[in-house]
Amino acid sequence: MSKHPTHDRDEAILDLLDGNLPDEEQAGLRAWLDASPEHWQRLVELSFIHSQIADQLHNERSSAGVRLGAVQSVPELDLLPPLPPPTRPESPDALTRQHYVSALTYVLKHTFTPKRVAMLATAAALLLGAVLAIVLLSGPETPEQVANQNDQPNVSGDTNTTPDGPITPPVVATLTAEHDAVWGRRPGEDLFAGQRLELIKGSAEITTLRGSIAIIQSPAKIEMTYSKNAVSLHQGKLVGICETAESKGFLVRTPQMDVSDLGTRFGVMVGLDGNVFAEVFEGSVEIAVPSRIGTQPRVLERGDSIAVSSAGEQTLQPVTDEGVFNDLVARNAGIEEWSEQLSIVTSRPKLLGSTDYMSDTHAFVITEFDRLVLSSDIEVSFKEPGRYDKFRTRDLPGGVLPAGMVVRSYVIRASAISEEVSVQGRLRFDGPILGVMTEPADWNAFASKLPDQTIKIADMPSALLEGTNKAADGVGDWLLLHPDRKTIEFNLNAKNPGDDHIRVFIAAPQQPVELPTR
Amino acid sequence: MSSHDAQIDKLKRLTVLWADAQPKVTGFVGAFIHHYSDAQDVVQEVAKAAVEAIDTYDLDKPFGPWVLGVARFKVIDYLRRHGRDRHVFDNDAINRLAGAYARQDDRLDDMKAALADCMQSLGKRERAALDLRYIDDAKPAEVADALRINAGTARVMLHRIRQALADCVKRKVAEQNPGVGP
Repeated sequence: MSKHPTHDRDEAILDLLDGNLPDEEQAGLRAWLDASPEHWQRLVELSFIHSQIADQLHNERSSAGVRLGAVQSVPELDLLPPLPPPTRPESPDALTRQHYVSALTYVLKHTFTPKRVAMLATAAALLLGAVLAIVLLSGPETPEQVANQNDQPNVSGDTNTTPDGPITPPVVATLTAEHDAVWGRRPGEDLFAGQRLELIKGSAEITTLRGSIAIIQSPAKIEMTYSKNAVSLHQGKLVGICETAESKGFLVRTPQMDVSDLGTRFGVMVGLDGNVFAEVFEGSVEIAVPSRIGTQPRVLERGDSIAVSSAGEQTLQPVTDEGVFNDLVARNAGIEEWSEQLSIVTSRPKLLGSTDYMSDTHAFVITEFDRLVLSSDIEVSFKEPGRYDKFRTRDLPGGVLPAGMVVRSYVIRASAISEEVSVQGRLRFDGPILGVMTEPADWNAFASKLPDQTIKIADMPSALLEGTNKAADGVGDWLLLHPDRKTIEFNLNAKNPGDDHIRVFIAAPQQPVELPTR
Repeated sequence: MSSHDAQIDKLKRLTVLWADAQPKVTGFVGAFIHHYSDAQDVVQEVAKAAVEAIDTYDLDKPFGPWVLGVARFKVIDYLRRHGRDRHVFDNDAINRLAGAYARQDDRLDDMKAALADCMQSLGKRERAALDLRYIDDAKPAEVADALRINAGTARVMLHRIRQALADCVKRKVAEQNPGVGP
């Protein structure tokens, strides 16, 4: 048995012991327990350890003779208010029972050394004799009699089957989209706790019950856990998207580490060698390395990445724009195809400074909005298919995108490191291009009517802004919007100092996002 | 020996037998009753019921299964009194787990000793998390607040600590009993 299923069952058992396992997930655990006596044995082991942890902690506290605040052992927690004491109403017979058995229980409960056995046994015997006398006076009561009193037939029918038949594991997610996927499943299909899936070809999108989206790229092996917001990734690539409050906390478990979302977009890859790599595109995640007592969870912020080898060695490393998730995240970001001279950036920078995203060989396609509802009309440079290359004459047809339109947006940037860059690019989006914004005179994608949270393009002296120019080979800047309205081609010439920018708006897809057809 | 002396002798033996069986009973009860103090109350009730029912116990038979039989009725009674909905972990599940506990040998004693060692290796943060969970009966969200992590991480952290302790216990027991299977 692999490591993960065991740990997932353990988690369900521990949730049960903590009283935190939802009813619908109890059915799956029960079905698993009933499948083998070994499974019941595992419940024995964990429940025994669970009870012994509690006993030992309480005994240590009792031995210390003082009630220490639980958080006092961690200096950084000193300023936090103490937790309220557990509230448990005393039962009506609590005092009676306390007087009746407390002394007895003390003797019975606490273990003793052989030297003290005789003494304690004698004391206990005297005590028990007294108890017995009381019991005899009040009449005998056998365990069977107790059972007859307490174990009346349950009219509600305690059973391990549902009215509709045998228990099945709970539904924890839905297969919401796929593209060329080969794994014998169809969009809309429910996925169950404990279900193992192998994606042989293509990609697929899974949405958990809490709304987290996991996009998986083949070849991949995953397993659904007994959680409404988690998935185990045994092999392959996964991009997690958690953009709602309910989905926060999405957990991706891998053989080497657990990646817990803090409201973000991130990627996780598990190689055949067992090494795991995680990268944060936006927001932050917490990384925990399993089974390592003393290891602090590590928070990765946007732009961070980490590699953990199968030996547990951790390496922090910077994210590169040519990251391992480029293909997956690009297609999830609505870009179906892009030419070799383009790099896809999904980290959504807030500012494009004059020294950001520079290259002598590439232009950058930077994702900006997934779904932006325009609050006012905005002007675009052109909307209709055609070739546009006479910008100095300000002969662009222009157009307006009306308020209320829901768009996706991208910024395409060319910025030379050395003297000059000339990039020809071709992009195909998964939706129709609604318009392209640029500035005919200087090739800048000003966004004066866009919301403040759009990507800001750093202010530069107008002298440094690029106008329409020609590269050394005489080819000037141009744009081509294909008749299919989904494909744009361009040639951008940018000199240093000076950058070219284009902002492209496409129609935002309906949720959930369906993976594009390639 | 008079009948009175026999009764006293039986109670003496019961005392020793209970000391051996009490961790099993506590483990079994704790599987269904989540609050430590409530579980302790039920264990006390089991001890009381065992004393009261001593006449039905045959000294020639194992004590563990007998006292677990008492314990399962007490657990069922507790859950019924507290109105717990138990469509899945029902009486049948309680009986099965009682049976599984009854089949345990001395290995649980070894596990108990090993756990004490393993807990010494806990870091401050892990120990604080366990204290919050077991001493203060804190929910994962409360543990998270105290440790300044998110609730999901707190839940996973508690799981990881206990799984690591379970692994540690398993390893130590295996070391002490080479050649004996898990």
